[in-house]
Amino acid sequence: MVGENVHSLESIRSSVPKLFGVPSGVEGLDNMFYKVEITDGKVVKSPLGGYPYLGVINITGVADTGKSLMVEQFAVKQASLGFRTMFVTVETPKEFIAQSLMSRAKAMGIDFDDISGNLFIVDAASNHRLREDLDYLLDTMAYGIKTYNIKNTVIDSVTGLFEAKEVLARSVVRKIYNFLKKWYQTALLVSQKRSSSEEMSAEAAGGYGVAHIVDGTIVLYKKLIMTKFESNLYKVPIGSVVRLFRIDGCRMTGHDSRTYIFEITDTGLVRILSPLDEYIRG
Amino acid sequence: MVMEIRPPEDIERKRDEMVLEMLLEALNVLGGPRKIVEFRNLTWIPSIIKANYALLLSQAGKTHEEIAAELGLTKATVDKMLRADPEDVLRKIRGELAEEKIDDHIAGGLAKLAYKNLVRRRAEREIDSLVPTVESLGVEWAVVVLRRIKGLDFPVDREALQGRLSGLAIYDIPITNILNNLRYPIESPASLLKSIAEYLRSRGLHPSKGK
Repeated sequence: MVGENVHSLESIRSSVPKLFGVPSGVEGLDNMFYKVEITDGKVVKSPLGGYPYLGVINITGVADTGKSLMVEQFAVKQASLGFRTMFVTVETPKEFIAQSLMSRAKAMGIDFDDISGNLFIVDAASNHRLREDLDYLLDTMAYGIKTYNIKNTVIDSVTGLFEAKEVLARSVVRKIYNFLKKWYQTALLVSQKRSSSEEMSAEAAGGYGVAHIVDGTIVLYKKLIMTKFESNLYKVPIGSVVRLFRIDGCRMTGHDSRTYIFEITDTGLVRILSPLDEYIRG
Repeated sequence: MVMEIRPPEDIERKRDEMVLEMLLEALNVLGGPRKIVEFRNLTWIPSIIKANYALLLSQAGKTHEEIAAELGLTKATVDKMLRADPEDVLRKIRGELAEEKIDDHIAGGLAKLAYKNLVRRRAEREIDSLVPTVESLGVEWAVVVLRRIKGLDFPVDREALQGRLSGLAIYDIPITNILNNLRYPIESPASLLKSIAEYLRSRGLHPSKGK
């Protein structure tokens, strides 16, 4: 029995998935993940072109930092490429998510009628049992993936699945992670960070050790400029908001580990601008 | 409009139906009803049913611990059932069918064999129903693909498809290039055709007319 748990690398070689990028729909993000290849004895970094295929990525930050916008952009982009995407909404009822996805598509210049057939919603916000009974939710997701041949999953947010029972956070996320792996999904999980958590740290990555389970974590942060010094440093008026973005870690592939400035455009799209150090140097 | 995926209220009933179908198929693998009567011992039917449930629950994403709790088994039993090698079991049952009791390993192997046979039959039925449709629509590549994949076990991976479709080209695109750009595993023959059609569209080709 013990021996059956030991596999040679050779025996699993044929089932190892290919490493490539799944476009994120977020301008400036796709090339921040990269793979390293040896060409003519030299190490060459080549951009992955999106989130790592079959990766489960956690996007975290305090309220109103752009997490939901990022996952909506991903869902719209993937649907526009013909890949069916399941959006599990835990916070916002389906009608409002649909409206939000329509706005995102419009801002991205994509005709919503062309992509709506590739978008699927599981409404755990309106269905109490889906939100409270994880097995029931996973059964529903499995049914959806199997029936509609879904390739990508978004959960906004996993925090809503362990609300008021934070002690279970790791086991909930572990179960979801194993499920997504079993069903070969490229997935984004939104998790909410408490404002008391250290802002841009790994601990901030969803808290409760969630970052240790998933394949990678992206941290979003907003900074309110309240001093003259900060105003000079960031070159924005006092009272402005500066938005920061960082890939905190990714075990599947190489990634840019610098902190970036990003913006939320007037039309409601997350757009990565430039590395913070370059921005400050001007 | 965006489609809502509702909780499948009849998911347990569908699982029960599948378990029964698998039981019948497993009995078939064991030699059919007449052979079963000869053994005068049906004590292994509960084991096969439990193994069928274990397999289906595992495919629904449950861990071995969760399956054990749901079926009232030990985790070791579930491990044994789900790690059974169906081919090994097939060899074994051909020689030792007279045994009064079958162990968890054999029950697990039988469940896997039964499931594989049922899924293969469903895929073949799907292919049989798709061929006349794509023929009447004049989509020649789809007819060739369907004929070549007959007998494959779904969900299918790239290597298995490559083996069956090698040498084929669709509108001058080598099948290897197409297969390298699909996402795996592919659940059914219809999903395969759809994925290929989507790839062709992404290359600016009409799936049934080419350019």
